[in-house]
Amino acid sequence: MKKLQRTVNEKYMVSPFLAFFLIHSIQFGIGILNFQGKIIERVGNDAWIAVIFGGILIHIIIWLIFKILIIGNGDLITIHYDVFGKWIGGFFSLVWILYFWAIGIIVLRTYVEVIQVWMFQDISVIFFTITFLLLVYYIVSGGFRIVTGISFLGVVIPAYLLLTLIYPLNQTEFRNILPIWDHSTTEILLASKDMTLSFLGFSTLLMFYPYLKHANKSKLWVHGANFITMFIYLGIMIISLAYFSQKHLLRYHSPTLTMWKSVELPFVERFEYVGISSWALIILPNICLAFWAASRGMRQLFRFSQRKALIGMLLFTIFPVYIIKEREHIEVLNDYISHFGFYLITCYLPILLVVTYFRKGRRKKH
Amino acid sequence: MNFLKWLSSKGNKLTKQEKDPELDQTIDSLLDQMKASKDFIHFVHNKGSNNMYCFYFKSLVDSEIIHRDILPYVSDEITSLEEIKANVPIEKIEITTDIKKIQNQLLTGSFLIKMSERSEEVVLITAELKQSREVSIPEVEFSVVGPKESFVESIDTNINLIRKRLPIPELRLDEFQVGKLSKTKVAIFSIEGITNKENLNTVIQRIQDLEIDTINDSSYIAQLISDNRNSPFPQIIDTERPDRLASVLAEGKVGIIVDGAPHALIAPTTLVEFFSAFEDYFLNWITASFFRLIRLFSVMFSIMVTPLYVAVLTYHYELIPKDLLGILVTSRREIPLPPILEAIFLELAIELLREAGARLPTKVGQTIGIVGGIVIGTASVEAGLTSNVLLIMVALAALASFTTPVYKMSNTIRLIRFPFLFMAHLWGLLGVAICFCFILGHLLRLTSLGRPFLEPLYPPRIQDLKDAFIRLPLSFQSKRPVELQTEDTMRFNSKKAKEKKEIDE
Amino acid sequence: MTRSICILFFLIVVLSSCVNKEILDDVRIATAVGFELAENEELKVTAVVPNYMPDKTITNEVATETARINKEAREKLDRTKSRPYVSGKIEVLVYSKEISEKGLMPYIDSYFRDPTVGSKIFLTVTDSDIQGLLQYQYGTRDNGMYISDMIEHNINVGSLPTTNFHDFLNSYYAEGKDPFLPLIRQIDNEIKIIGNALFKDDKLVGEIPEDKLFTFKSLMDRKTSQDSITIEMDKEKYAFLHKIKSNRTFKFDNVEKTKEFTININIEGLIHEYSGGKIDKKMAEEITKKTKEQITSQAEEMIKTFQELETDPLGLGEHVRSHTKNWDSKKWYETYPNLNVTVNTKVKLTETGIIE
Repeated sequence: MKKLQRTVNEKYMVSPFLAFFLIHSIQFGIGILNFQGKIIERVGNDAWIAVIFGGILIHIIIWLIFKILIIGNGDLITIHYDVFGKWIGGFFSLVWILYFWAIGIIVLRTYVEVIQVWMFQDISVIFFTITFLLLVYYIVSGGFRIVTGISFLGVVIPAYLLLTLIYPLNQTEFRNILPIWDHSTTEILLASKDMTLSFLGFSTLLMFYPYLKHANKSKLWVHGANFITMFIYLGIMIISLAYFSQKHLLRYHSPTLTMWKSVELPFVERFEYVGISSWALIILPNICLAFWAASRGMRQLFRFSQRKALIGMLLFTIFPVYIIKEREHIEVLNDYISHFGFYLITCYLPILLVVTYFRKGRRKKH
Repeated sequence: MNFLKWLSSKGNKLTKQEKDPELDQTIDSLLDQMKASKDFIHFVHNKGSNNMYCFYFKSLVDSEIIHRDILPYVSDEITSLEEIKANVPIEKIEITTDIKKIQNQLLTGSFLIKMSERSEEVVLITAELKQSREVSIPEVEFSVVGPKESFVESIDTNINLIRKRLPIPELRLDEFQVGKLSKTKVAIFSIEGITNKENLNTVIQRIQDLEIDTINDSSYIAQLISDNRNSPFPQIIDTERPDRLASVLAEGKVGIIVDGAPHALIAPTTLVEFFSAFEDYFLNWITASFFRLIRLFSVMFSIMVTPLYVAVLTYHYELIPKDLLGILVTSRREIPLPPILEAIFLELAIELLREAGARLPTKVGQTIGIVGGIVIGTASVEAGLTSNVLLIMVALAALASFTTPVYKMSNTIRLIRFPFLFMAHLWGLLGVAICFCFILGHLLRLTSLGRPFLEPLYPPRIQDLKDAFIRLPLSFQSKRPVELQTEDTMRFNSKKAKEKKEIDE
Repeated sequence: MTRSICILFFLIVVLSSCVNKEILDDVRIATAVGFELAENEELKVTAVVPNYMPDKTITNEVATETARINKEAREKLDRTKSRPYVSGKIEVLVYSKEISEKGLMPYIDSYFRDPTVGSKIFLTVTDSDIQGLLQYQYGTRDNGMYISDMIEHNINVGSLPTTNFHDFLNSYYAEGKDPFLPLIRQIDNEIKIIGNALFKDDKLVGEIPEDKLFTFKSLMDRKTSQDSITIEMDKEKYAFLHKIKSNRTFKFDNVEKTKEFTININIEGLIHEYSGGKIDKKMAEEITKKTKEQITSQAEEMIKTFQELETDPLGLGEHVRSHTKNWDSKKWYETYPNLNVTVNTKVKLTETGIIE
């Protein structure tokens, strides 16, 4: 049995600015393909306001997370251990670990679903999943530096996809966005709540915080990452509002992919296939980071080898991914997990902050 | 600390070798053993009163030295070995009873003299026959401008070539013997005060720990001391250019020279370095950067083009521009093979040509290339075995793979095309993307002497980008790469180099 | 150990999990599909496939089948052919007038649903016999490509407003806008754009004739360039204007009460040809005046027709919506037929050519 690890060997740490890529890569994932529908259904042309509000809410929560981590001085598991003790803390830790794991599962399953709908109706889910999980294992077993590396490359290499947003601009009607604030404030706030679901995953920061060199300096980068994510979401939201009329957009399962149909390059007439394939590289850091956080949590909680925890989790992932077959089920599961995540970060984290402050923060001051 | 460890490990090694049963013998038995060889000469030199027993390998010893510099000075008056040492005008003379030393010296070209048949003590006079190729022009890393000398098989000549380029006392040379049978000399170059000690010690450590019988070339060493031996990617650069070695030593890297190998090794390296030809530094920075980008592009092209062809033609016909559709369909109409087999067929044909060309003498090789390229290509298109579009693509891809300046890397590039091909056949573009992710993961995990292989891409070091995808002007290269963690990071005063001249002053 | 497991797994994957292939030369790549009604209310589907000959010419291969629903027809067609049809490269969908009058959406559904169909394909309406229209080989390529190229270049440099599949669906689903489609016809051995078909929702309700296409385009597109128009002067003299840049803006204020709506069109053009000899300053002013008159009267007349047909291809409703809070589409459609639309045209002309 190993010990609870409170500090990380400097050899395995990463520079604080890489937190930008870690956060951005996990926020920016499968959600971008179809986040518009839900928001637009609620607030129509004001959807873009909801995106901004959602982003601001996340900024506040990131601030909260940093407060917890600085006072607690450790990762989520050690803070739980210190604050709630072995059993209650352990229970909460387990909940979070399962949450991180669930993120990994649902992102992978949703991606497979996109592939099934758009590219290969008859792709063998199980083999694709296993191949992808092998890839995840190969990267996560390389340690946190490698996970960070794939996050970095997973942001930098597919960045060219942003350029493709220029093409739909030819067919946009920006008057679709007007009139501004056509819906009641409550509606917009509710939509903002829905929007925050697309930003989820950044709570893995709770796990990898000890891996950041001069962790304090990373604050700005984490907020920057969230800002950029929000900015891209905002851009895509505005362009899709202008590109589609609202009812038209609501007919599509993934409007972002549909927008790619308007990209026509001299050598590639239909871009969506290239886009979906490139998306593998965007999804990969997402899943890797989720599995890393979950397996790291297991290692800290049950104190056995992270590698074994990882292998176990990956094996157990095949099963749910294979079992969920219907598109509705995926959507329902997605909904559950993101709502669960939403309440975890908006309700549980403030409580954790208060408790941590009273158990640890005050003691420090004396 | 590491240095101490290194010292103690060296001591350990010596004691280990002394215990070697093979060497547990007397001088007589050693000489008897050697007498079995035809080229081992032994005679009694008797001038006057004392007999002197002389032994040497005639194939290893320069007979001119014996007749000009040794025998004339070994005259009547001499009664002891010390006198020989004093008289013979050769600086490397040793008196010893150490059997191991005697064996080594004899086998590297020494002349042995014993005063009596039974004596244990002998004098060893170095009279090595130095036979080596003339320094010639580099053939593998040829450059139009720049120095035209390349390493040869002799380690001394090679060391000389480097010393000439770096005439500083800080240039440190550690020498080791590797190989139970071959006893190959391996020299490690570094510059004190610049080279990171940790890098140097890692190399030394790894070379000392080698367990092998023969080392016939530096590539043996390269394979054995690589961080990941199962990777298709080379993690150590080999070069035949002394100028390149000298320049990377100045950057703070470690150079390894192996006796009998005309290639020096450079470590640690990064992936991008494999795509920079040394000629890049001879050209203006704009042209150099352009060609470097062309090379990087051609690598991507070479790896991707056939897999993309297979993926698109097998699964994603929607992607093909409508004007191209006709060309592709007409060229493929008569082909009985699916795209994957067609691609493999052509790729293998090109590999065959290359391999045949490489194994045959130059002139025949050229003929094979032309015959294969033109005749087989045209014939297979006419026979309807392959489409002419693919033929163009495969030929271009092969051409593109040859732009890589480092031979080992271009081999790797040709190899990793195949997993991409299979994945493209399996899942189309998605398969290509997945395969790409695997390669990325692999590259991320690779290290060279423990330093990240993908640097400056990851970990991102903007400073090192000055000499990665593009090469900025020399005045920008005032700092040594961060990758190497050198002790002295400044190469020269950048302010002075960048100083701008005032107008008309 | 792990490595051999990996290799084994890889082999299993390769051997067992190949997905359904659509190898380029093993499929029939349809480029145009036509829909018309057969007797007994069945659907007659005509598919055009380019047949690439070994001598690099392209012939136009046409197959027709009747069925109750589009995909059924395709399935029937597949049964008669050596290679299956695929719809990923469809360029044009041609609908007959009867079908358009019944409503297009049921016949679009399968393409709307299909991820392989592009969003930049063209939909057209024709009053000719579709089988005949698609059968004849017009150019050196197949008819799908031919028709799509024809429409595309008429959008770029001719008098056709921007239109494609995406625009059609967008206008159809927009609350304050109705779609339109180009109208084509086979005349002898030619295929020709003869105007635009106007829709109310997805039902064809009217047409815009060929000679009003320019005015329609100036009203439709916010900005155009490269158009041309012939102006009829008195005494059988004509002027031809070319390279026209136009710019259209909408203006209105509290439209539900005042029922006033203003459309401003700015046109800049070059006189390319004039059959009446030398153009002096007076003549140029004359041409400008005539152009202005012609466009204004045509536009106002056209809008009247739209109002009568209760269709809104210009998207006036959308524009009002975007400037009104809590816009109500029902109320708008009550207002729309009684709307008083004024068209203001500004024309600026320059003479061209090397002659004085």
